[in-house]
Amino acid sequence: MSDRFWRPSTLDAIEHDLAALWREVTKEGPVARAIMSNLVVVRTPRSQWPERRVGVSIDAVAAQHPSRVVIIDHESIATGAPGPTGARVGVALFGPPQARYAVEQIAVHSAGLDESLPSLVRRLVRGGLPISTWWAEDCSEAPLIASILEMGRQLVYDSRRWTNIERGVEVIHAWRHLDLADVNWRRLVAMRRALVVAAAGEPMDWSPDTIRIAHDADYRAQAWLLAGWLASRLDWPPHVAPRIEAAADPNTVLSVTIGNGERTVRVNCDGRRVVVMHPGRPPSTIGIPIEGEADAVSAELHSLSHDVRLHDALSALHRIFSAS
Amino acid sequence: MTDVSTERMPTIAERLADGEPAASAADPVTFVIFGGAGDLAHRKLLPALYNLQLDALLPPRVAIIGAGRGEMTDEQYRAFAKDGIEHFSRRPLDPHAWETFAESLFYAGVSIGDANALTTLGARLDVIEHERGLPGNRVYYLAIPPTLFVPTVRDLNQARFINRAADSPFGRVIVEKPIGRDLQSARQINDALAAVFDERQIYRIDHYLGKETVQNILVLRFANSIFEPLFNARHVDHVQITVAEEEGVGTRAGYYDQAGALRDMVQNHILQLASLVAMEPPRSLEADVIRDQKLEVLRSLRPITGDAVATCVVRAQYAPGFIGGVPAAGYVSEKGVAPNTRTETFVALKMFIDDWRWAGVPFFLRTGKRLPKRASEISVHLKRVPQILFNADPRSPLDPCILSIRIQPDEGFAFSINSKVPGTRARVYPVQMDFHYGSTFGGSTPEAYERLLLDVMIGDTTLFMRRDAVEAAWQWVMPILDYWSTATAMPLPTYDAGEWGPPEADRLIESSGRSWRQL
Repeated sequence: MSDRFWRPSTLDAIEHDLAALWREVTKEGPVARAIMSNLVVVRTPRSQWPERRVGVSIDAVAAQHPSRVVIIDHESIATGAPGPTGARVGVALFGPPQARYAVEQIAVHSAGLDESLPSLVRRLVRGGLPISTWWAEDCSEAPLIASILEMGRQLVYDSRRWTNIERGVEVIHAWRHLDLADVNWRRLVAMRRALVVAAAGEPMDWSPDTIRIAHDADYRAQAWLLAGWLASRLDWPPHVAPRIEAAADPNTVLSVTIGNGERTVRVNCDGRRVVVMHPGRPPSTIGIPIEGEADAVSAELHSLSHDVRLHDALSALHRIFSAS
Repeated sequence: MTDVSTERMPTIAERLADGEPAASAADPVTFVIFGGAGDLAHRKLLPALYNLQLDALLPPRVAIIGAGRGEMTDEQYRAFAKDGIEHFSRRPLDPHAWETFAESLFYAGVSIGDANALTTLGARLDVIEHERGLPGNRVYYLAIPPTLFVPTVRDLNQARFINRAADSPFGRVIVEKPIGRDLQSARQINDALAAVFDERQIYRIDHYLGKETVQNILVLRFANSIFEPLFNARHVDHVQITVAEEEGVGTRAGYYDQAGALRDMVQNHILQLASLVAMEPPRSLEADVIRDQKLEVLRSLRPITGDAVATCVVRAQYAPGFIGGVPAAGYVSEKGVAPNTRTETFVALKMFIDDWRWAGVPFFLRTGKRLPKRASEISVHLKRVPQILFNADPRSPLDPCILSIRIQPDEGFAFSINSKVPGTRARVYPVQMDFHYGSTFGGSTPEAYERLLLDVMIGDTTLFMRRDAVEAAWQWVMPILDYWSTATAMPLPTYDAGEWGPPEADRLIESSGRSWRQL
């Protein structure tokens, strides 16, 4: 989808080499230099990120959210480390020939103390533009590099990758002063909307002991996020959670059941749409937006705002897990 | 002491909906498109509704009924819709999303003027709504010729389709422009609508107002501290608004030859754009607050009457020429155009807004068919700097700073400023700070109809024209039309297809020492 030009560089010559590369790229025709923000991507040797591990390419995201992409390949070494060991600059071109635009990318190899990274990033980011950190690794098992996150305004992550939900919530909750953007929370929009539809029907008991959430393996974090959302919106007592269990129906990826017996309302998601089933009424269907991973990440990058509902849901989950 | 017992606790649904995306506010609805098998439905409306489905913005329960003169089964209508989506949707057909969308599509044969036909349609709607658990909220889209607006609305009323002013279930009607062909006929249509619908149930659509860049005018002005202080007579020299079309009349000759550029473009699209550029800051984003401010602009337009029409307005008709190197026929040779027609295909005019903010600032408007390219733009030309320092040489005055808002194509805006050319000499060169929607936000921008149809479902009238605004615009345009109707002996200028209008249009602006912006 893009033409990409890379050239080796050194830390001191990055801006110079980048300018030269831009001049080269624009020789063949007009190219708009597009930049909305700084997007910092930290890769560790373990991650093999992003294409192979996550299935999201940086180019695909940059095409939709043009940024100065700063890729830090960082190897954390406690002592005696040399710091940056190499750099490359690149320009990726997008769009049809008559409307070409391009984004710039800088990749730096670093080995050293985590604390050394801010000085590196500070030097590479474009001033006056917001800094977003995209953390595509499982932060429930790999520690976040605090010194990098502290520089940014926004932290984009995907809780679907969490192998340990409790630990993931604990880690992310510590960063709630940032604009948190969970791609998995975004995937829950249709489900949340369906629950609004479910609640708009006949009155039901929405206390936690009447609600069951079932999920398949990939939707475990979503199930917990839903529980946190309900707890925060409905002011459930702290430390109380609904029953969360593995889904028995193979066609169900996530479902919420409210009530018992004949008056049960069921909200069922098969991954493509969410259906709300009230007893004695025709079902309501809410489509799930067709959106690729890169679309979702770039859409989150587009919205620099404090998502109060997500923050509230995380806080509620944090209280639940702290109590247990 | 406050009586807390009277305060209503929010319901569970309200607590869950609080803070969720606005689309959640769209209630289940039955969407009836009169002219459902027509070109507008095929190219615009059905693809727009499908894209709302892709974005999960349609209500959880919905039925879309195409109502048209011909006979068609539901399956045939679904095939018709699928074809429209495959050819005109901004995003490709997704089999799963299509499956869900197709389930909500139906067709009903209706002929306007036949009361029994609407009774049959009503029975069909009742069955569909019952089966799909729809509460009877209805949106009626009149995608039909303007001559059918009044009889259709009358028939809807007689067949008891309308629940006037009721909020639940609601009934709303969408009317396409043109609303009339003069002030009198506009009032007739509005009177007919008002006899059946409350004003807040009427959505007069102007698809220009659904375009992202048009919506961005208010953001640009009121979300940035740099521009708004400059938007007044103290800093602005003049404003230009151009809506240029490359195409000719095409298949619309029957309508266009009766309308002309002033009615087709200026009375609605261009005056709406002008009102957005010139309006005072609204105190809130409520629909009627914004629409009140826009109306104030329309009411402040200095009338162009009598002989002033001859000096402030230029009309012309395209003659044979070339478009992109390809020969193009003249207007009178177009199929469906009367041979002795005097309908204008081009209008340029100079107008003033007589309010405190814009006193003395000319607004130059131009629009036409068969111009060199399709381009719509608003440009705000700031006053030149004094003739000292870098602007001291009268032989080479500095360019003024210009804020240009591109509405289509290549949506975005640019701000041109003067900058020093690197080197030992003090040379100044105009450079551009340029913002492109396409390259900045990526992805595909929603079509205007998507936004507008969703707004109707949600009940947001902000981007729709209110009766008083439509009639104020006609009121301002009428003296020009009246003058033209009496000045039949005046020669009608022509311009070659592929030119930026006649020389008279250049003289209109150049007589004041200004020139049209090159697009």
